[in-house]
Amino acid sequence: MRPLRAWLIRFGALFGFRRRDREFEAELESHLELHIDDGVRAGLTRAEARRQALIKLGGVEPTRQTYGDRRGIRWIEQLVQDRRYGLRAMKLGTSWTAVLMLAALGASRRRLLMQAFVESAVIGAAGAGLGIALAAQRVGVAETLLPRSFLARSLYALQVDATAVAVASALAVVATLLAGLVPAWMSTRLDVSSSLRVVERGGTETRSARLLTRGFIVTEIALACALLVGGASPSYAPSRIISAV
Amino acid sequence: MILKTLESMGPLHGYGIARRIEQTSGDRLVLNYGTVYPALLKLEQEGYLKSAWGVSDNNRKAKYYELTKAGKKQVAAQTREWEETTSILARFLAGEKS
Repeated sequence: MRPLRAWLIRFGALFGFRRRDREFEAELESHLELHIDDGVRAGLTRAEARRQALIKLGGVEPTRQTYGDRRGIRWIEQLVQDRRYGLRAMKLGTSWTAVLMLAALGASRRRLLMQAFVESAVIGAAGAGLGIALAAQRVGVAETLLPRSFLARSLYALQVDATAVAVASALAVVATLLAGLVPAWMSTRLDVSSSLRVVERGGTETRSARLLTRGFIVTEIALACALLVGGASPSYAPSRIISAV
Repeated sequence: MILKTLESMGPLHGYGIARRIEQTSGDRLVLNYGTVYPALLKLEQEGYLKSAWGVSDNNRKAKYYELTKAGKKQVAAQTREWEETTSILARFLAGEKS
């Protein structure tokens, strides 16, 4: 139970890690002060005592690093940062700026959303089409390369499954529409001039953008957990499940 | 070593624990003091330690670590295990000599 408890606590540490960072900084500072006091008592100058204390600590940055590795779950923290960076890049990207510019020039909300819808639908449909063509081509390649005996033994026939194609295409279109419509929708809700200023400065995220980042991460982790549990448990009947890798 | 130090010394801060470990080893063990903190964190996450901010003898604010009930049990269990391992090894070494 101990390792499980530790993992749960590490997961919990993902929330409010800035406060925990500050607390560890205070602990490190107190460690150094205590060590320096000892050095001064032993006859060293304060500067020399501090130097010795830092050497003995093994450096502040490596200590911070190893402590950080143990405190939370590194890959999730990395994911949060990557998503944040991605969203910021999206805001700085030309399409986002173009939407804001159009809004600043007086384009109506409906018109902006319509434009984003058409653009995203075209990209989504193109993506889905390309994906299906690629799948059909790969099935052909696999049929020529894989040995007959292996193909005959496999549980499912090697073919482009119509249901999978429909679901994947729908998902592709929905995902692209969301990716296009959400920024457009958000831009029509924001004060355009202040948003443009944020974009110019590359400054901090707005509250809604932060909520969006967190929403993405929560959904992503939930899906990952569902896949993990579904993949690991033999009690799940796979007959009515479409698997997409 | 951290758990045992806390068992014998009572609540201590990270610096105190590192110093004490070196002293107990007769300075034969040279620690990078920074390595104590991830270990303390791990033990705290596992529930063997608890920590609270306090004030040191020379009036410095410091985070003090203390054994929990589970920590005390863990010290006893680990001590037993270690003694058993060393006694087995001692038998082997004695057997090889004779």
